[in-house]
Amino acid sequence: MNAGIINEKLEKVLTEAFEFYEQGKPVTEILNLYPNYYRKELDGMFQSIQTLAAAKTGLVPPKKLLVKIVESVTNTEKNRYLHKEAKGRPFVDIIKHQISNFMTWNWKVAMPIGVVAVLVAVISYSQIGTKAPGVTEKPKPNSIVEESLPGVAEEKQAVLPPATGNVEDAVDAVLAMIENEQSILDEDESDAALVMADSQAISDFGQSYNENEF
Amino acid sequence: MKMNSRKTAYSLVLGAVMAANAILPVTVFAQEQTPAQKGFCSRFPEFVQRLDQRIADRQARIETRRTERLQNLENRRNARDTRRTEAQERRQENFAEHIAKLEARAATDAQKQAVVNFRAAVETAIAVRKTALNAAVKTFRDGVDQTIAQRKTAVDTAINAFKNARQAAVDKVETDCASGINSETVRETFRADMKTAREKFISDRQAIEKFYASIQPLIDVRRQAFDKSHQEFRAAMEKARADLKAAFGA
Repeated sequence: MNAGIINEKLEKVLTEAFEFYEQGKPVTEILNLYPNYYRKELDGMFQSIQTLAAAKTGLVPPKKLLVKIVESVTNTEKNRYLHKEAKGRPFVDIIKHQISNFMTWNWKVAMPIGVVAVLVAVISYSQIGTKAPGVTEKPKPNSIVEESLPGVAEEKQAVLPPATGNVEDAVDAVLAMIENEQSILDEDESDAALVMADSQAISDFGQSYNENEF
Repeated sequence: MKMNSRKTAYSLVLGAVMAANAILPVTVFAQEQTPAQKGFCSRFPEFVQRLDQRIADRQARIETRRTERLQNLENRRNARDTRRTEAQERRQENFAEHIAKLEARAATDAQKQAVVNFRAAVETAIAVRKTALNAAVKTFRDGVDQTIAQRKTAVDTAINAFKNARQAAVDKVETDCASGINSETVRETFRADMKTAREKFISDRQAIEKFYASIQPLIDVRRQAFDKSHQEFRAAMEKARADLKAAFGA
């Protein structure tokens, strides 16, 4: 195995381990996933991540640098840092500019967001009552009687005692299996209700004649 | 001369009127009823058409329910039989594993023979039970099928009786209307005939619903057969267990 292949593999391992870390997997668990010969590199990587994570909370850029950054972005002096230091400018003007800037920014952002929100709302509303793609509805039973009858869908599978060589276990296993079979056969009784499946239709037939009509 | 010719003319007209009275059918006079009176007869075909349509629709619905019932029954029985067969296969596999373990554990000839006897006893008990249950299941299923068939015959008879009564009532209306009987009278007669027909059907239907009572004895017989076979099976299993434990000393 040459150095190129080793580096390539190591890079792959480090990338993968970092992805696990980003997904929230604990470091100890990630380390356990890889062989020991990657341990040194993985330890180093996670140490660096933790050092950087700890250091970033204490990092505060100098104020001048921030002002420069903001200026370069907004290309104006009227920003939230500068207005505090502005001298000789009436306070009302500053407020007006702030409001103006805020409104301009707000409209620029709010308009597209609003349009998107309205579109989403309309689409969502039109989707109410329709099925989500890929979602298949459970097939309905053929009739009301079938729906109300037990014993079609539910699958009762006995938990059979594993073979141990023990006499009691062997006998219990046979009895459990027999009980299971019996529970399946007992469902036959619920078929009796199907005899009445046409009751409503027969009753409706008796109402075919409506004397008020004549 | 003038007086004679005038008399002759009157006589001719009178004679013509009398002849018309004798010759023209009675229906001519029936048509002279008020619109309210003749309303039922004139609109009767339309009424009957609607009634017949409802009868046909509802009879078709009964047929649909019957077909669904037979289909459901068959599906459910087939699904249950499949599950039962699968359970039996699982039981055989599991039992074979237990026997293999017991055979492996058997150290002496007596213990090996005890395992062989145990296996035979269990298989015999299962076979006896299976035969008894199959018979009970068949009796019950046949009984349900028979009840459904009897119910179908009884319902068809009730439907036919209703339809015959309807036909008789309709025929009577047509005859009465043609005979010039007052439309209101014809209507009342028809309503009374149909009310009788409907009440008869309702009475027949109530009697038919009592067919369900014949299911209970089937259920009782089935349960008795199941209980008996289960008790016999448990007794056989207890004996097999005792014999095997005696051989293994545990």
